[in-house]
Formats: sequence, structure tokens, C-alpha cells
Amino acid sequence: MKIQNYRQYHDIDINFSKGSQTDLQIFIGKNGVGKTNFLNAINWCLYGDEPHLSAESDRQPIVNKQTRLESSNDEIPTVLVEIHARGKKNNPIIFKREKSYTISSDRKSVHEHQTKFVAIVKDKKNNDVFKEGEDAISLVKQFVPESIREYFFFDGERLENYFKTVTGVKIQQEMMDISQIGLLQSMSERLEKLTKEYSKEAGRLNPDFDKIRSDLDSENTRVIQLGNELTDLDTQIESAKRRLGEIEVELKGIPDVESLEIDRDGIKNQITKKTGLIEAKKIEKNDLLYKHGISLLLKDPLSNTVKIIKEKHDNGDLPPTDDKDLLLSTLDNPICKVCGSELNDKSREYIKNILQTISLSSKVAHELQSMEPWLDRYLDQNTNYPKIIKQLNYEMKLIDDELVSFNAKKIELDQKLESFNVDKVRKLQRERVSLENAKETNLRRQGRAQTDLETAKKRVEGLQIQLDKAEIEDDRSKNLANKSKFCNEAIQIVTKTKIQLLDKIRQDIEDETNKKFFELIWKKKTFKCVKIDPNYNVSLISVDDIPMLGSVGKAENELLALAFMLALHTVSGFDSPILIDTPVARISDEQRENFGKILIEISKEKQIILLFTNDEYSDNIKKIINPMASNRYAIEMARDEMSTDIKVV
Amino acid sequence: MDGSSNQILKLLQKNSGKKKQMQDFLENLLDLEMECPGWWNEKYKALIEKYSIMEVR
Repeated sequence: MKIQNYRQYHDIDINFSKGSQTDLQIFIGKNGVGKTNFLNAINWCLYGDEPHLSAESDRQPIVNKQTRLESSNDEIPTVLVEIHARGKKNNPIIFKREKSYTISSDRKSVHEHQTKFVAIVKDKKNNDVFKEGEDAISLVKQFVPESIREYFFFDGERLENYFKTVTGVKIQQEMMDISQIGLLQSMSERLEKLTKEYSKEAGRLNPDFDKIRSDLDSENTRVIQLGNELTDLDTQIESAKRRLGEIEVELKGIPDVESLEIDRDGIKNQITKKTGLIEAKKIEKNDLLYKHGISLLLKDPLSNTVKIIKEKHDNGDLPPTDDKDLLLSTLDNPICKVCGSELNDKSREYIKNILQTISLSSKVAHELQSMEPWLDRYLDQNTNYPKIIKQLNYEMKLIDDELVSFNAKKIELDQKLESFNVDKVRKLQRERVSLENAKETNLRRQGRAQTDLETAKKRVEGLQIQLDKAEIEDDRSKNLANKSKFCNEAIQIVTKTKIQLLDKIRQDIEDETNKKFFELIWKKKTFKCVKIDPNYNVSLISVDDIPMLGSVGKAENELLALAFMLALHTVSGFDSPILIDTPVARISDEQRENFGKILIEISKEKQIILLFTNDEYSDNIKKIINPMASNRYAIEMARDEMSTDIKVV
Repeated sequence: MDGSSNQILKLLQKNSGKKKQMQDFLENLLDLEMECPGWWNEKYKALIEKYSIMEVR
């Protein structure tokens, strides 16, 4: 490569000589010295653009700073990038882009003056032949077509994110790009355009024709729309399935935490409820004790009193038959309360005798009688008390048992939930529910769209038959009808070929990706195979038949992307070099060693150019790569920071 | 013509069956596409004219 006046590079010449075992070209430089602009220089030379330009570089003019500052006012410096490569049959080819620029007086901006792009090849007599314009572009297409350059010259980040961002539809498109199926696509589109043209022409000769043609066009548009809709739905369904598979792996053995949390909340409520209930029972028990306290404490005296009253009843003291107070007052005033005559001694003696037989006063007897039912009731209460308190204690025990069981369950759930990253699991489980719903909705929509598509296709067939008839009715349109028919036949063959080819290429790429991946992977017993399904979704299957793409480490993921890209190279037949900017920056130190070995293996088959930062080129990878590198270069910025030099180490 | 273009051609010919005109027509179209043609409209029309008439005969 030769680079002059391009961004950091004032004037450099690099000879990528091959080593005895490998073709591994290593560049090492600090951030900002121009590594990525080396990648841009290649793109600029071949395609005329700079897709990896940093914001800082974008602010700077393309013309090297030193050149800008040192050129005189009337000077028109030229930016040049030349790539010396090998083309078909290993013939030498040079791609050379040069652009001249006028420099503003303050030296801060430039204006394009003239541009030139040539490809130089050798004729049979080994003379240089200069190809320009379309011819030169055609030679670039044979080296690395612009549409697939991302598989040859790329940033390491592309490897890291490859399967996160690329869907089956995108991979299908990439297969089409890389395998030249685009040629068939283009043929088919052009034939369709001409078929329409012939039909329109025939329509001018046949009045019904326009109507049928227009119906056919709109129905064809509908077929395309439905086809696109189906492709989109298919992509969404496949993407949902793939993500669901990944989530399934991540959630394997993990219960539904959301329902566990609901269970735990339910148990918490039960604990609160039962605790309240047991408190209420305690109060009830206290009230009962308070209510029965007096009668229980006075049980014996009360029983005795009742016994005495009973005895009094048995003795006939109760109820009283004589009034003691009346007899005493009659003795004090000895006049008969019945006849009013004065009492004689005999009568008085008689009253005294009666008084001696009366043990209770009327007042006491009344008191005893009135207290009797109360005493009975108290004693009855005491009789029921043991039964009531036993029932209450039994109820409290039941509640307490439930409380113990709920608390044990709560502890169990707490421990279970603490053992998972609940937030992450909850998020994944919610995502799973949402994906399942989306998938179901899309499957229903897919079913409807498929039915609609079948109907539309039938209508197209019917209209096509009508159109063919309408065309043939007119002699002058016969020729056009013949051409239209011929084109339609050709379109069908091209379409069939395209489908067969895509399927074959898918199979070839799957085989090749498997071959590369298992040649290079350092874990020999973890993975079973790489699959590319009919919808072009890539999956990495473990020995246990579990899809692992979402859960493998960065290094394995990058290796799979690299294996896939190498497979695309092999199947496409383009064997151009690979350039990777910061190839292992995102890989952990311990995996860099493995990845370094892989890059060496690949470099035995094809040229690899790697651009490392100093930090990235750590001891782990250095000890692997240094002995095998064909060339090592240091990219260093000059002290005045106006240019960058590349030196062989 | 590289490997994959050869593969395309073989499949096109196989899918054309025994129709020699169609085989030649599609081979010509493929060549045209690989040359990245300008004026494709005229070139296509000329080929269609030539081969569709041959097909009728």
C-alpha cells in the first residue's frame, strides 16, 4: 500500500510480505494515531468513501496537516491511496485513487479540484493496462464488491454484535449479495419491467386490455405487499422464537418468581389476619377470666352458703312460718295483736318458748331466699367455665398452628426468592410473556396473510389467463403476447433458480461455518453444531441440544461470527484479505490467547491485517502472535502531531 | 466467470429443461448482467426479440 497526504499519513509505503507459515500483518498504535484511518484509506481507495470516520477526523480536512501547512499558495496537493493486490488467477492488480485539492488561505479547509480512479492490470505481454470508469469499478467488484466489503474490512465491534443485530432476513440478503444471486434478481426485475411494457403496448391495441392489466398490476402489488408482510411476520416470529429460546435457557430451573411473590404476599396477608385473630381470642379469654373470676375465687363459700340454705329448707326454717320480730314486740308490750286483751303469764311463757325454737329472723330468712337464685346462677357459671375455656384454648391452638405453618412457608419463599436475581428473572419472565403474546398474535396474522396471499395469487393466475387471451385476440398484439409469454417463462425459471441457489448456498454456508467453527473452537466438548434454518436464523447448538447463542461468552460469539464470515468468503469465491480494526478489544484477557491462535490459523490460508491498540495487544496475545506474525508495524505519530509514520518493528 | 456464476448458469440451464433457446437466452442475460450493462433495456429487448421468435418457430 502507498498512502500520500491522506489524513494522518504524509507519505508511507508498506510492503505486506508474506511469512513462511502465515500471512499475518500486525499494526500496533495508540488511540488517535490513525489506525482506523488506515481502514478508511482502503475504503476510500476502493469505493471513494470513509465509512469508519471518527467525529474528530470528520472535522479535519482529508488533506494531511503537514501537507496543508507546508504547501505554497498556488500548490494543489494530491491525496493518493494505492493498493497493490492480486486479482483473478493471481494476476497483479493496482487500485489507485487520487484527488487533488486547493487549500484555503488559512490552511484549515480544502476544496476538491480533480479526482481520478484507475485500476492497472497487466496484458499478456506484461504491459500495464489502465482501466478507468466502469471498467475500473468492475475490477473492484471482482476484488471485493462494495456490497460485501463489511465482511472483509471491519471493526472488531462488528464481530461482537453480529448475531445480536443481524436477523434471518438480513443474513438472507447477505447471502444474496455475496453469492451474486443479485444477478438473478436484477434479471428477474428487468424481465418483469419489459413484460409490463409489452403488455401495455398490447393494451393499446385491445380496449379490454388496460382494465385487465391494471387489475393484474394492483393484484401483483398486493401479492408483493402480502409477501413482504409475511416476511416481516416471519422475521418477527423467528426473532421471538429465538429470544424465547435464549430466555428459556437463562430461566432453566428457575420457578415463576412473579407467582412466588404473589404467593408470598398472600401468605403475608394470612399471617397478619391470623395474628389479629389470635389477639382477639386472647382478649376474649381475658374477658372470660374476668367474668368468672369472682365466682371461681368464691366457689367454696358460695357452695357452703347454698348448702346451708338447702339445710334450712330441709329443716323447715325456710320459708319462715313465724314472725320473730312480732313475737318480741308482743313480749315488750303484752297485748294480743289479734284480740287486744292483755297477755297472762302463761301466754307470755308460751311466746318465750316459741321464740326459743325460731333460729332465723324474718329479715335473714328473706335475705337468704332472695340470694338463692343468684348463688345458683354463679355456681352454674362455674360448671360451664372449663368447657368454654377449653374450647377457646383449642381455637387458639388451631390459629397458632396455622400461623406457624404460614411463617415457615414465608421463610421458605424468602429463601427461594433471595437465591435468584429477582429483578432480572422477573424482567425475563415478563419479556417471555410479552414475546409469547406477540408471537401468538403474529402467528394469527401470518395465517390470515397466507390465506389472503393464496387468494391474491389465484386472482393473479386468473387475470393472467384473461390477459393472455386478450393479447392473442388481436393479430398485431400476438407478437407482443409471444414476447410477454416468453419473458414470463424466463422469469419463472430465474425465480426457481434463485430459490434453489439460496437454499444451496444456505446449506453450503452452514457446512462451511460448522467446519470453520469446529476447526477453531478451543472448547471441543461443549458444542454440537451450528445450524442455519430455512429462515436463515443462525443457532449454536450445545451437545445437549440446547440453543446457546444468547448465553455463550464474547469470545465464542465473536468466533462464531468470524467462522460465519469466513464461510461467506469461501462460498462467495472472493478470497480477498481480511482487515480487522481492534479485533480483541472486547474480549477478556484469558480468551485473547485462544482468539490469537484462531487468527493465526486463519492467516495460514489467507491474508489477515490486524490493527491493535497498545493496551489491546496485551501480553496474553503478544506471546501467541509475535512469533507467528509475518510483519509487525508500529503506527506512531510525529512529535509535531502533523503526521503519522508506520515503522517495521 | 467465477465459481458461483458458473453455478448460476448450470442451474438456469437445468431449469430451462430442453428448451435450447431459453437456455441460450438466459446465458446471454447472465453475461449481460455480469458486465454491469448500460443500455440494458435495448440489449434485453434485442435478445427477447431474437429468442422469442426462435421459440415460436
